[in-house]
Amino acid sequence: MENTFSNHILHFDDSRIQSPEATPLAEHYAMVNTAVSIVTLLIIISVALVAIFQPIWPMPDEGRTIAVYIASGVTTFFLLLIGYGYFAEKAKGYCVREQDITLFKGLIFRKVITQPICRIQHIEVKRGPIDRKVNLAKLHVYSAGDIAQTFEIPGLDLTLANSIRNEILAHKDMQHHG
Amino acid sequence: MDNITQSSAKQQPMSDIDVDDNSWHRVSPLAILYFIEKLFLGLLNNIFYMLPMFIVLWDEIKANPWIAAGIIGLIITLITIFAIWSFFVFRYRLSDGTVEVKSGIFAKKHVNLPFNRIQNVKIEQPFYYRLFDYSSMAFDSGGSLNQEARLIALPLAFAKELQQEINAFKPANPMTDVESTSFDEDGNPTNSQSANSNASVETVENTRSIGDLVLHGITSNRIYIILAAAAPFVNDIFEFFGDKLEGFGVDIQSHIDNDPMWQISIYAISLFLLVIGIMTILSIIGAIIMFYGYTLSRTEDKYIRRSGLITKHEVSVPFSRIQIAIMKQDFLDILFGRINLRLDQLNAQIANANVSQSGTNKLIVPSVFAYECRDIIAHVFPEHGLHEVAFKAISTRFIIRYISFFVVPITGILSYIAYHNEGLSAWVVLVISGLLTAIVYGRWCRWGYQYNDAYIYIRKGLLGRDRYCLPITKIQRITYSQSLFMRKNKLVSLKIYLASGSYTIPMIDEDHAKRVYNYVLYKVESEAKAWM
Repeated sequence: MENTFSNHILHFDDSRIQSPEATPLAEHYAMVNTAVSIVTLLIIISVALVAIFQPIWPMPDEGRTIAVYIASGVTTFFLLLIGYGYFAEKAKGYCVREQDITLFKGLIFRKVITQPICRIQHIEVKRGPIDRKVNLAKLHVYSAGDIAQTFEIPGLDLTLANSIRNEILAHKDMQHHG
Repeated sequence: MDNITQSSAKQQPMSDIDVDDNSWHRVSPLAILYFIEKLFLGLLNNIFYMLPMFIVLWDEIKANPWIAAGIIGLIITLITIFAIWSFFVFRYRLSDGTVEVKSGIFAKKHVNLPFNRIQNVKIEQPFYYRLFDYSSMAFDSGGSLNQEARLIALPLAFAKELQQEINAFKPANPMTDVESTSFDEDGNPTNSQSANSNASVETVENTRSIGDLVLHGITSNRIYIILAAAAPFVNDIFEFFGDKLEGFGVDIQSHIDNDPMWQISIYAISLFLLVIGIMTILSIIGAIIMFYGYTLSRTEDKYIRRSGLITKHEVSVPFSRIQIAIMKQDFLDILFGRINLRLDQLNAQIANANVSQSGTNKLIVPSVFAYECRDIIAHVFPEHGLHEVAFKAISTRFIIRYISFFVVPITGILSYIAYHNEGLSAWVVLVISGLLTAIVYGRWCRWGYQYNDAYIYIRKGLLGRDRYCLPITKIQRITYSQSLFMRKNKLVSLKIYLASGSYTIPMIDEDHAKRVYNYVLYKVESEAKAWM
């Protein structure tokens, strides 16, 4: 069998990627994600504060102090979590090569997940309401080895996500198996 | 009863096997039995949720037994009516290489399954069909389509012919062609494709005697089969035995109070042995129910497993659908030199989603010898070396990791408790920590991996030993992961995804991991062989 196999990195913009290193996700993705988490946290805190200090069914003073302690403890915990999440999202990256697509993730546990294109069953570009506001998209890739975890690259520019999807769909092995 | 057989024969004469026959057929009225069974089992499964209601209403029921009897009668009547109704709306049609099934009373279902999409044809003979030589057929289409068709109450001979017809149906789809020829190191086909004519010739590869099954019952816990069947009655059973014991005048409390310690320990030990003995016997019975009359036959491109005492199961699995070979050995299996061989297909979760009796549709060969195991696997994965492979150990850091993240914290907590609490002696803490350390060490000893150009092998276990043979060309995805500590020590864990599930090789040398990772991707992507 003649060996014509190649697996170079594909470039979707006039990109700088020359090594098999991860391309970071969209610049504003981690920021947006963190902002969403902070807003959610703020809403929950304000609801809690209103519940604690509302005058209609006043809490006993002692209970109020304990509730404030608990609320601030929980807030601190989630703030730390959000901070960690920011850096974790920042650390995510992807790489599309001719034959496969790779997701890099993890701060403490660094993971490199590679999905050969010939094993992809179908592929979806997903956008939630916030993704649509900030022009981002998630790329979901499904294969048969999937039940527990789907392979998802978040925080891609919409046009980039679409061109990756099209590139993968155009792959000869995808057409065979589709 | 004879009428039933005759009338059904009229409905579907043997000569009727014409794949292009375009008319809709009704099955034999024996199907009603199937629907009754199904509805009844459905009801039984839900009875658990209705228990609180029964408990609340128990006094009412006792006060008015006739009303209760009336309700039960009504339920039985309803089940019968629905079963008959289901039978009347159940139609099937065989045409143009597809099987179509219409069923359902309220939720109508029309399944259209082309023969070439059918992965497995399974013939089942529940006892009520065996009396009349009838059977039901289940067609499994594989995960992604997520639909299953079932033909019920067909004459056995007809079912077998149809099965052959479906098996002989060679799809025009190139994807399915490659399969039986895969897995040669050089990419050369290993068995010739032209031998289609003898594709249906069956050779018996393996049978299991009652002795084997008894051994299997002893070594593997097959008790759950009986437990599952008895689950609705567990409470009654315990109550029954409790009453019996009291009836015999056995009063445990008085014995504990009065007898000397040594006598109580003898009671305890004998009770323990008795329980073990009963469990073993139940497990043996379970094994026999499940695997009675076990034969594993082989045609050119598939394995067919037949077994079952009460309900006969037949599962046929094309070699190409098999994703992984697993040699499982419990501690006792190692002692007896037996192996439970499993050849897994698509993810068990998909496969079991629509089949209530898990395990019956798996390709499993109970308690075989190593050489039989080797030969059975060799038909699917030629030149595999699973039985003789020299496994490489994983890093000793594995021991350090689990001792520091698992044994040390537990020991710490226990010591703290022991220090502040008289009840827990320091010796107990010491023994527990020692045991945990031994477990971690034992796990490490069992972990092993190896690879060649066609397969990856994994070994793991503690007292028992499981060995896996993963064909590289069937790998779906691979994950390469490293924690901060592991990076410092140049170690990597690999996780390999097949359609049958995911398999981990923890903490191996970084260079090896990179080589495996790159080679797997190269092999999968450059050959792009079909995985099913």
